Amino acid sequence: MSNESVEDDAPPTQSEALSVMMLEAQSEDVRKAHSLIIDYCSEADLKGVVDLAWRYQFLDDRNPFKKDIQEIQANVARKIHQDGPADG
Amino acid sequence: MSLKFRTLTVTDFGPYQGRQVIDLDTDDESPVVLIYGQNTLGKTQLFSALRWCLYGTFAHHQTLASATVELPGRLNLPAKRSGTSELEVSIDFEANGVPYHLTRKARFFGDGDRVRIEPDLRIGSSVTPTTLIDIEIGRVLHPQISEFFLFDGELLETFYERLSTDRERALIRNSIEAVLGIPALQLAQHDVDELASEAAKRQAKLIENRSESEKIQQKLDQLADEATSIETDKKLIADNLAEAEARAKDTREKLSAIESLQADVREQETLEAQFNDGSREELELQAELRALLGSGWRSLANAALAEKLAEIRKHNSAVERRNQSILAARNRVTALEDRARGGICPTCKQQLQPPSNDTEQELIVAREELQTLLDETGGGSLDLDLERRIAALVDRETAPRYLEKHGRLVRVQMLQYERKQRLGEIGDRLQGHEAADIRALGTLARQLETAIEGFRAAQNKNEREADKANKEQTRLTRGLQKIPGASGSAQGFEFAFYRFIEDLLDKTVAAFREDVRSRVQIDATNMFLQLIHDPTGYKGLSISADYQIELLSSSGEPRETSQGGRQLLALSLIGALKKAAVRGGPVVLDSPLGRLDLEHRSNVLKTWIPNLGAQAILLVQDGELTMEDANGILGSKIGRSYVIVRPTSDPEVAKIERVA
Repeated sequence: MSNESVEDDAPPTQSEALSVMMLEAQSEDVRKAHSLIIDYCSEADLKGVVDLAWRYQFLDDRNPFKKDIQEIQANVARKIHQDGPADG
Repeated sequence: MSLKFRTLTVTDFGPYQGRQVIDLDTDDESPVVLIYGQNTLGKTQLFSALRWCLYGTFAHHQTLASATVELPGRLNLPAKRSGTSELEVSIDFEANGVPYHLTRKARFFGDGDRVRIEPDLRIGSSVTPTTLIDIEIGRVLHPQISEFFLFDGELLETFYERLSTDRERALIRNSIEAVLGIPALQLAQHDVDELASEAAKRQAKLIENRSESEKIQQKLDQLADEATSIETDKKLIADNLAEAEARAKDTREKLSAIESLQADVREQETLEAQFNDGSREELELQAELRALLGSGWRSLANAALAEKLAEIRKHNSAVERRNQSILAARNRVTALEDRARGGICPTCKQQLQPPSNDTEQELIVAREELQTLLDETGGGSLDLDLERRIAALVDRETAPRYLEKHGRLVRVQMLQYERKQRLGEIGDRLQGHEAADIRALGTLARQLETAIEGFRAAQNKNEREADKANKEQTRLTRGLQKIPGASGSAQGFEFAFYRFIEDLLDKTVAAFREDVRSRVQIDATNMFLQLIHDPTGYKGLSISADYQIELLSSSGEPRETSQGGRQLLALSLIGALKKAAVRGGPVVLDSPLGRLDLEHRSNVLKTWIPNLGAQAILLVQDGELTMEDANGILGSKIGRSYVIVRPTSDPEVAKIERVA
């Protein structure tokens, strides 16, 4: 897990969720279970996931959420193609 | 979350006729607003107005439809009697430094039973679309946790019992989790799980496609080898072609230098061939002439025979003419003799005239002429047989043939002579040059031209094969690209990414829940121990993951408590939940102290309420808290005080007056 700085103007619960997620992402069991991908996911990617979860939480149509998540996935895939783990 | 109510304005709502504004603004030092009111004067109406303005309902679990049915009864009766057909409540509040102005107006039609509700929200200077108002309010004060900050004291007694049912605990848990955003994370987790499943299916398909793509890849490798081989051949052919062209050029230059000699050589070759043919013809003609001489010896006597034949023919002709003359003379004599005798003509059978002297005379002359002719016959007789035999001996063919052949022989010999002469001249010119070398050079040039043509044909064939291989490569590559995942390895990471995010969201939800539960447990325990008369007998509260609450003794064992204790327990839990859910936001409490004894009321006011957040609005009656007690207990904590009064004898009208 890289340590990109995250500009945070999100509501407290959202930022708390992100903090919890970051802690979980840094835990040993998560790192071990997802060693293949974890170094390619930056904090900004995870913040993106939480932002999307909050942004679309009241929408019944989940497709926009999925589409945006796929963009994050594509971003991570690009990093994999370039063979460069996230470095901050 | 920083949230504070600034004003509450009610217009013709409940007992409040016309427009009445309550300033609720407080500061950190004096966060409490007290609103006193005797029973039935309109405290709960004010509480309901606040809730209706925020959520469109009058109670926590009420539906919008049910609230709408209630609305006509909320229109101030004196106002209604004076013709007013609408009521309105508005709240000004500030959330995270941003001003909100929320208005909810109800217009009544017909007999007043038809209602149109018009909400309006301005955030800062922006007007929020009607459809987004509930979402925006939900962001700052979610309706599901309204029970924790819009608390009706009447419910306090039953709150603890409600917690004993799974449904209620689930409601509480869901409410608090909704505010904390856990459903957002769960929804995201669910969606990411679906994406992971889809990615897994795609990956399974990839494995299925792998063998196909491997086959295509093998073909591509094979084609690449072929292309390399073609390229090598191409280079080899190009080298050979270049060498052949260079040699051909060199040979052509040499041939050009001896061009005239080359013509001589060609003529020499032709002449030699013609000479050989002529020699053969000469020999043949000589043989034919010899044969003609052998068979045509008689022709040497042709002249004598011809002379003799002419003589015999002349004789025979003369004999034949004389015989014809004799025959004619006899016929005349016979006719004259018949005429001289008279009688019947033997020829025409007619009566002849009697003979005359003339006839006799003519007969004598005719007989004399006949005799003369007969006398001349001493010249010989007709000899046709001799004429035939001599004619057969005459040879009329051999000589012309001999002459013709001889003529040809002479011409051939002349030509052969000319050829020999010409060959001699050419031989003189070619003296010093080997004709064989010149011929070999010509042969080499022709061979080189043939080789060049061959190389060019091979080159064209090579180009066609390379083109074919290229097209096949393109076709296979396109086919390969169409097979999902064949062109890149990141496909496999798609599933890994979604599984990672899904796992992370799952763990985040679990950790977030545990964090909230833990905070609620700690806060509720602290509040309870502050509220209870004798905290030493209690260790605190235990709140399980599903919000099952147990009061623990000092030794950590579950223990029972009194009815009053349960109410304190409920207050503690509500306070802790409010802190967890609404954070620093306000709390509005309607008659929260009525069920408590004085000591506990004091504890609630001193410790519980200040713990709830930056603003507490208490709607109380004299029976639960007098102004004196409030001032005594809260002192400077009180920021504003109001009292609800009945200005006239009309029980349908109430007024809110500022006390301090």
